[in-house]
Amino acid sequence: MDILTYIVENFSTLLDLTIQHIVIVFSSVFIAILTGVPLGIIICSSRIASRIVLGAATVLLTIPSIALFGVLIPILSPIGHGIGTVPAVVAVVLYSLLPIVRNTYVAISGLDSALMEAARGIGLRPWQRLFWIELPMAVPMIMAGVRIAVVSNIGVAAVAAYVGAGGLGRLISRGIAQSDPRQLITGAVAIALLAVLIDLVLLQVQRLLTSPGLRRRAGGAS
Amino acid sequence: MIDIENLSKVFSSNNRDTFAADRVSMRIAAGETCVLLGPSGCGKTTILKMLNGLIPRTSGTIRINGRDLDDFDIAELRRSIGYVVQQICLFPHMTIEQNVSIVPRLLKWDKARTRRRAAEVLATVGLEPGHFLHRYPAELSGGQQQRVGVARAIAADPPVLIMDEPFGAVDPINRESIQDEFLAMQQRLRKTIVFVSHDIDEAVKMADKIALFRAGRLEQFAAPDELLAHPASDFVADFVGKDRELKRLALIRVGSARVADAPALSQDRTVEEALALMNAQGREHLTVLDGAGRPVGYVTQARLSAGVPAATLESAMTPATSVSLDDNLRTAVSNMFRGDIGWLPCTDGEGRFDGEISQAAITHRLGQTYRERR
Amino acid sequence: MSSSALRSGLVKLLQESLPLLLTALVCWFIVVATGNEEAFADHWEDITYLAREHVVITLQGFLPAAVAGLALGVLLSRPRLRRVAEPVIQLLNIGNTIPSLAVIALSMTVLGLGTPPVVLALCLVALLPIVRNTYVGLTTVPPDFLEAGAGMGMLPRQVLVQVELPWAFPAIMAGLRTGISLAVGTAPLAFLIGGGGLGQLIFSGIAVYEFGTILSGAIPVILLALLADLLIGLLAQLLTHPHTGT
Ligand SMILES: Nc1ncnc2c1ncn2[C@@H]1O[C@H](COP(=O)(O)OP(=O)(O)OP(=O)(O)O)[C@@H](O)[C@H]1O
Ligand SMILES: [Mg+2]
Repeated sequence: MDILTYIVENFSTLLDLTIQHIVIVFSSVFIAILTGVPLGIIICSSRIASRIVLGAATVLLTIPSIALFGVLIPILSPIGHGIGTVPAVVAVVLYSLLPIVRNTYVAISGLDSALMEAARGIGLRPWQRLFWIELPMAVPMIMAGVRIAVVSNIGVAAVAAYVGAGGLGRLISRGIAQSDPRQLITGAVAIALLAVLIDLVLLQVQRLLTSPGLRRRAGGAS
Repeated sequence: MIDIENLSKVFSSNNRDTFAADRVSMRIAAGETCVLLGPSGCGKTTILKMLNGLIPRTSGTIRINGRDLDDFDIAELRRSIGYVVQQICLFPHMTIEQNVSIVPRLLKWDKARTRRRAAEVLATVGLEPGHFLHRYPAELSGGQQQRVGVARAIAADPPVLIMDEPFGAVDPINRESIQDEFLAMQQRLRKTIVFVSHDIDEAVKMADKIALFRAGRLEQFAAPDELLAHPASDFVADFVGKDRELKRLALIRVGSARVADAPALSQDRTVEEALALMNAQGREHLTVLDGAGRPVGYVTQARLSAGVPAATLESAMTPATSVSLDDNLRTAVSNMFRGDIGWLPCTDGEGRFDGEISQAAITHRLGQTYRERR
Repeated sequence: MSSSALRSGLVKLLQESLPLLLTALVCWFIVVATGNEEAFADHWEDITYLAREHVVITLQGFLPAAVAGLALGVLLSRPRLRRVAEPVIQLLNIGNTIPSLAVIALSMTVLGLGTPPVVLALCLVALLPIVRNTYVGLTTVPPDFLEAGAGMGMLPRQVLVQVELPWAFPAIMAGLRTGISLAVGTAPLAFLIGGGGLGQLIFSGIAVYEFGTILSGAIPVILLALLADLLIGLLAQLLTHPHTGT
């Protein structure tokens, strides 16, 4: 019951922290989409480039988040942003790159070559092929990557509270520091719920953005 | 018009050179259908794809309406060449309407016109527009998809069409009908068509000219009847088959082999009149007509002389089928076999009697080309 | 083993360890560029001690998770449990989205401070992907294989050991790989609830804004994570060879 009282009494703070959390994650993933999708497209044309980029991104993803913050702090401090929202955003962008770049790459390099030749053969120029055929067909895969990025980075953003970024991680860090189970549990449950909810929402968005023609095919022929 | 001169294509892989096209020269006149024919791997697809620049040439020139392929903006050229792909390749994320509208959209047609055109071409290939426009390719059968593939190619009304086994995925019965529809369409539109097939029957049916390839070499380039009657090499003769004379039957119209001055009498005439007419003309049989001049049966001298208890031909005759002058000899022969009879009355456009066709006349017509050569 | 096989094995090993080596190089470059070699040397004793602790808690969490995860995955895939399996897997999928900091925090509210809540949290975090992958691997065995096994007179247990597990092997290894990477990634947070490990250097370094201390913790954590990934990858390859006969 303590917890409920706590939630009611601190509702506006909670709301603020939730919004901060969402803003950190979504703005970073947005940056990651803007850079990752073009990167994924570009590396399709070179085997070596794709191996290097995907390899580097895999390594990045293996690095535990707090260790990445630890490395980012000395790197970002010369420009005055060792602590705060900037390392959080940089880390989330870096973590989001792998799923987005990889899924873009896999989707586009895996397109049926006969289909792409047909697109050339009926007179689509390279840009038209990209925007009319390749990207729309890659949307389901790219969105799946975005979903993975967003959901896993809700956790990263939580840890970011320890490097001075806002968000729901604050509740956990304060809860631990002040041995206050109310904040701790509220924070942990809020983060968990946020992750689960956003996953569901993004799944719907992915469905909406996917052409019904691709949906049916993915679900097997009628 | 498409001019191909000394066209070669060499694929090198694993230090081995494959000649997919070996100094090929041919000219396809405007409005003509040319079928590229040959066994699998002989280079048909390769030559077709060189026509719209999908495969770069090793050497040789291709001119379209007198202009070298290299002088075109390739994307623009491709939009003026309807392309039907061997693997169909509809875009799965687009509706049938969007698939069919893609080239008109590239050409920046206005929306209303594009929409009207999409419905129109679907109808042309025998698909009910209301039923198909808003479906997705995955919801269509293979044959329906292939029709959409053809619709997509003709949507922007390109003067030239290139098609790679466009009816390959269709079962034999549907293939017949889609071929017929396509022929009817070509009658109206008179496009320049290059059409890949490995089926000699399809080639004979669709082509004005057949180009027969073997391992990248053009073995023979001729009209279907010429190819069947005078194969240029043993390879061609083998490829067209031992029954090539039978295949020629499909190429010749009944009208060109018919005997014009055949005897006929109305069904209300008497048996005696019929016998007299046959005796006078030295014929074994004659055709019996109804009031409107349509053939309804026949009588033979042998049966009438044996004595029939009938006054008019109407009750003495044997019912008979007929064949239209526009049908081909293959239909005529087939009808003869079915009726166990050596001749058939012919009919004109209105179904009226117009001469007859006999097995002797057909043999004579088929032999004509050989006598001329001698 | 022939010498050419040995050589190709070595080349493979080098290839696989390339990410670890390159990352180590980059990390060293960062240490040097930020002028922290000395701090790093000063902390060496802490580093080795804490690294050992770090590895121990990671394994304490991961090993039970591996055993339990495999067992649970096999159990759920048995025909008798198929009906409960789907909802359970759905639940695990949802559980998988819960961030590890939340898991650590919740674990602390149950077990208090110290090593036990850390081990519980690491175990839970690693468990989910292992169960899921084992289950998915085992339920996607082509029915023909199963029938062939049964047709040869194998008992269900023999089918499991000789047919199903070999088929599911790659999926299971992938699950173990994800599991250990999640456990390793969560381990640095152990310090927050009194569980020790290299997190201590990172968090205390951040608290006093001392780059040398932070890097002394962060870099070993990074290298250990890559090492764990490398080892499990190599293990998978080693175990795969007899199966594919290559
Ligand atoms: N990209 C390529 N690289 C190497 N060889 C090729 C390539 N494309 C085609 N070939 C070879 O060129 C020859 C002609 O191929 P092509 O696809 O034109 O045959 P085709 O007549 O269309 O056969 P099919 O009836 O089976 O479609 C074949 O021997 C083929 O193996
Ligand atoms: Mg072909």
